Amino acid sequence: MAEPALDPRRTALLLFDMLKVYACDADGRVRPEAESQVAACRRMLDAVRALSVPVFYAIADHRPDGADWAVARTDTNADRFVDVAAARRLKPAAVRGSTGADVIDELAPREGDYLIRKHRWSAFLGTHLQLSLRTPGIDTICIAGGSTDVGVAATAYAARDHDFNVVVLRDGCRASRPEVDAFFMEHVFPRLGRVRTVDETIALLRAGHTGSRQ
Amino acid sequence: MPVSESLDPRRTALVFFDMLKGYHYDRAGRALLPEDRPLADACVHILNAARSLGLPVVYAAADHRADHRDASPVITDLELRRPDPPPASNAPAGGPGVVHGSVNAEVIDEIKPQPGDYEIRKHRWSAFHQTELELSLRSRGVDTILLAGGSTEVGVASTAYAARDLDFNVVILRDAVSSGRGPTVSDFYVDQIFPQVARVRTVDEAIAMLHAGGQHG
Repeated sequence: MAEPALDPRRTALLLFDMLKVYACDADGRVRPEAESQVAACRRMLDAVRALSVPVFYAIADHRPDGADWAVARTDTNADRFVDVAAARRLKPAAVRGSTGADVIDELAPREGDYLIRKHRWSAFLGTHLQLSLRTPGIDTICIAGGSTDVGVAATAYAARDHDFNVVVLRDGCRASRPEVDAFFMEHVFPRLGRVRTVDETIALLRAGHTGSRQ
Repeated sequence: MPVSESLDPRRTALVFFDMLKGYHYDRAGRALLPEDRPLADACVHILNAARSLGLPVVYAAADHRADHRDASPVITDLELRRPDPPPASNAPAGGPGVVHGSVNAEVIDEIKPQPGDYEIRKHRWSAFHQTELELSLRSRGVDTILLAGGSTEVGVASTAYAARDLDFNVVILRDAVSSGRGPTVSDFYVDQIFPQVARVRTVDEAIAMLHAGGQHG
């Protein structure tokens, strides 16, 4: 099957948890291991703004009092549980209002962008993301951010089940380990959507933009 | 496994994911594929333990209309890479044609559902997506699901992520999950990804945890 172009009028960019707590050092500078990812996201962001593609930011949002923190136990999170609100809950990396909870300056939101405050991994769970995509007729979301195997994966699985076309931006995503990124890009995401670099995706959007004017 | 680990049988459910003849039986739909024998044995083992402990048993099963009107429309690399035109076939893409009412859509005989079990007809990957699964679990006080079936990186993973976000504890039954892409893909997911989404345990470990939890009741 020939690769369909991306229609900028039906496509959105979703930047997933590109927050200071995850991407920056204590001094607020982007960590070396995140630099190429941030640069790719920035290139994508500039390109989609020029094409008037709507930009969505999925942003982890947790109450400081812990009442909405997650509770599910896993093999790796036992040491992050704390007693709050009469339950054992998972302490998030950042809570609402803390500096770390902000989107990094390099990718700062602008007036008119969609800020999706999410409370679990998937940006669809208990948020207005689906409504905000469907209402203007968006059927395709380009996802970048991190972590690949955590929130990006949860959101990609959910997007697929909601019948959105997914384009995972290979160089715009990052997991804690490169081999995990490679696994998802090779074995998981091709089954639920498309895996493309930022530059490939920009080319597909420009092709769709040209096509839509004819 | 830490010795103190336990699972309360009154708050735990067993969920089989797509253990269907279309995926695990021969083309005639008569017999289990030989390579899936260990998987089926592990499923039988956990099923017997779950039944004897009174756990609710859930079968999440793909259910698609014969006219394909509810088939997933999304564009994937998998589809784009298929030869064009596709090889003569009217089966829906990405599966062996798990059509409502067909033999392919039946749960394998080895773990056949019984009256009183939950049969969740699902139409996308996640067993929670637009089904009664969450309601069925919450209304009987279940907070933990044991997850078995396949494929590991497809529906099982999608369901595990969804369960985690819905505040269910997930236990992935290591020897009772499999992938159509083979053990390398399944093992990587189980070893490298699932430990942050779930607890990963063998069927025997999960049974020991349930027995430990049952003794406090």
